[in-house]
Amino acid sequence: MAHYKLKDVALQYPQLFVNVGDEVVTLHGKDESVEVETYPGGPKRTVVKKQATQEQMKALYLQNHPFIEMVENATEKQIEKEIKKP
Amino acid sequence: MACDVVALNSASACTPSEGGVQYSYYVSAEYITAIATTSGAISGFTMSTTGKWKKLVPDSDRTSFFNQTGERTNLRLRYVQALFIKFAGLSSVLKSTTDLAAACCQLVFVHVMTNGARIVQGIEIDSAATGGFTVNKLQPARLTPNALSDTAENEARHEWNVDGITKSLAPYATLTDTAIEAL
Repeated sequence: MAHYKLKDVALQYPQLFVNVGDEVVTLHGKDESVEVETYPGGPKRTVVKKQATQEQMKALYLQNHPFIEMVENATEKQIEKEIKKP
Repeated sequence: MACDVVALNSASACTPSEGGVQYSYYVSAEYITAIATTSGAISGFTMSTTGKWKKLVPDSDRTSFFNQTGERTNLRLRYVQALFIKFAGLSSVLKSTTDLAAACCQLVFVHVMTNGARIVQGIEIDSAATGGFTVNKLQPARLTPNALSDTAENEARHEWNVDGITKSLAPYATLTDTAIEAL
């Protein structure tokens, strides 16, 4: 079973936000609540950027994303370990 | 190494070709950690923090442009990038916004051209680099502004000139406004 994970080189960044199509997700292993302006200089509202799913990681991998790698034949234990890594 | 060229036909392509920049998004390059590419165009930006991309809507008076002029000396080829946009008026807000942008050492822009194309100024795709890109290899994109009162016969304005020098033509992007604004 193929599994997509963040390369070690990307672990230097505490936070990573990436667009997959029109949706922005995180690559650093957890959801993030961020404040955005409703319009420039306007009031702020909080939105949640969700952690990337495996489907989204795969989409990035297929877009030659330099921080994503595929692990072939990953066991459930390996996947669990990678998910806990950050 | 073989050099296999590819056919182009302007007559059959019938591509819309209005010139000029309609609007742009920009950010300091320090916040971009990686890019994703699809068929040679940038399809994704990875940011170290969110909310840093800002939109620029310049005067819509057919004066804006983003030109890349090639210069060749034997085997040395480079492109001088030049953006020109302007904003009507002289004000404290324009001054402070311009000062902030001018203080940035490496800017990156996504220009939405009048013909709909999206061109990225300030970075070059480099699959061997850590994040899949570098900033302009020869001279980063930096802002040189003018604040002009001009005369009463003309418009007072802030002009933004963003220059840089690259080894290759600026990459295109497929990101939508929605994606850039959500980054």
